[in-house]
Amino acid sequence: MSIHWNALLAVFGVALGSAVTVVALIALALRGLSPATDGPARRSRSAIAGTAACLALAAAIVLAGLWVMVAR
Amino acid sequence: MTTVVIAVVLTALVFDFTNGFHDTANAMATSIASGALRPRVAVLLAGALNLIGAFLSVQVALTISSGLVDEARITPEVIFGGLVGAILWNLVTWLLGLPSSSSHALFGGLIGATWVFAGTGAINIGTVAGKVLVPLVLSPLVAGVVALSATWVAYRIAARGDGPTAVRGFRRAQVVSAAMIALAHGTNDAQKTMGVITLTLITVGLLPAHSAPPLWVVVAAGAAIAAGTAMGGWRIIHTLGRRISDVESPQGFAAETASAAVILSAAHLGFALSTTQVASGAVLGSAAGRRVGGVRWRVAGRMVGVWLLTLPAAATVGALAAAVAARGTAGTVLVGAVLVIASAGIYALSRRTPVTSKNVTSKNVTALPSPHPVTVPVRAAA
Repeated sequence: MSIHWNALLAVFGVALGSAVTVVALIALALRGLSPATDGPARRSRSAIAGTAACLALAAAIVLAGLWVMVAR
Repeated sequence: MTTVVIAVVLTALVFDFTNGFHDTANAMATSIASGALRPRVAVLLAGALNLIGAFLSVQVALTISSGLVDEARITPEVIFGGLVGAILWNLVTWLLGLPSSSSHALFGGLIGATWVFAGTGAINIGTVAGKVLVPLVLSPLVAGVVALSATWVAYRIAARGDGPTAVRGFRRAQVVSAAMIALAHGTNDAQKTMGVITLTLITVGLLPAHSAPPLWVVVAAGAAIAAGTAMGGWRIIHTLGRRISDVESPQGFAAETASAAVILSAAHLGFALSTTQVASGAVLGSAAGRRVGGVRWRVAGRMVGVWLLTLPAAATVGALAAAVAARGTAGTVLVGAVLVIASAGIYALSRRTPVTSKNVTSKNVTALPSPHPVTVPVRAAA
């Protein structure tokens, strides 16, 4: 009986890393989109850039997942 | 192509259809429960993505058609018996609203049927254990841990933001994560039927050993699972979305993202995973990640009990069906008639307590209590 333990471990590692990263990025982006306590006008450019970067990175990981499906 | 081969192909497509409506919940239950998608829209979206997903890979189909059982020692009647066992188990668990594994049911049916017809020597125990059983046992655990971690992270980060913005944002993100699971489900589960049909064609010499599924098999399997998915298995959607835990949008997003990540990474390595067990494990893990009291362990316990029963129950029915079907055309017709009558009976029973798109999110559909009121622990806007 050959059980591919390394492959199973890889599934766990990749799934854990990618899922936690995507969820954290989306949560961070949503925090960035939250209205500032002293009004939307005071939202800094760095906060907007950070939100955009989080969303772009999350989208890149999702696209990589799609590529995994399509490229097989 | 003989009559029995045509019968097996049609039965395999019926199994694929039941697999579709049995598993709609995997992709869409948490999105429907959290209000991210309307029930009808969700199941139609899932159906369309299942169809697309079916065309993306044949890796898992190859695992099933080459290696699970010795194709030289079985006949189409054996495969027919295995499919009957799998279909009946799928229908019984659907009636009970319990998300059991269609993959387990299929493998159990095939293994039981092969066992009575050709003995244990015709079952490749090593392949079954290494490529099927171990991943099927470990997948809900892996998905649960991944979902628990992702949910914990989501709530920790979102707690410092604006409540309504977070809820709205996670709901929108859920549409993407649910779509990913539906697509992955198409690639993973449609392939199992492709594998069974290919195995049948190999056993009668219409295809050489270790062949990949022909295009017509891919198209037929994709269409069958998509049609089943679009029907909406409302009873199981209700269990996954409402009875195990009251799903909130951050939790639903974390569960769906974890499910998609596990299914995709496993399918990439050719493991025939149960998407049902992955999705259910993720829902449990995400509920526990929110707070342990958020899980209704009684429902979860029943679900795990059914998981443990699936393989032996489907194997027993598959073995009985194969033993009768192997006696000739009359036996095959008899098994087919029993399948039709039993399916009609199960459907009639389901009409006594109907669960539809209209009441799927209601708490009053079943008698099970809902002891834990829902609170959204992200900070509300000032």
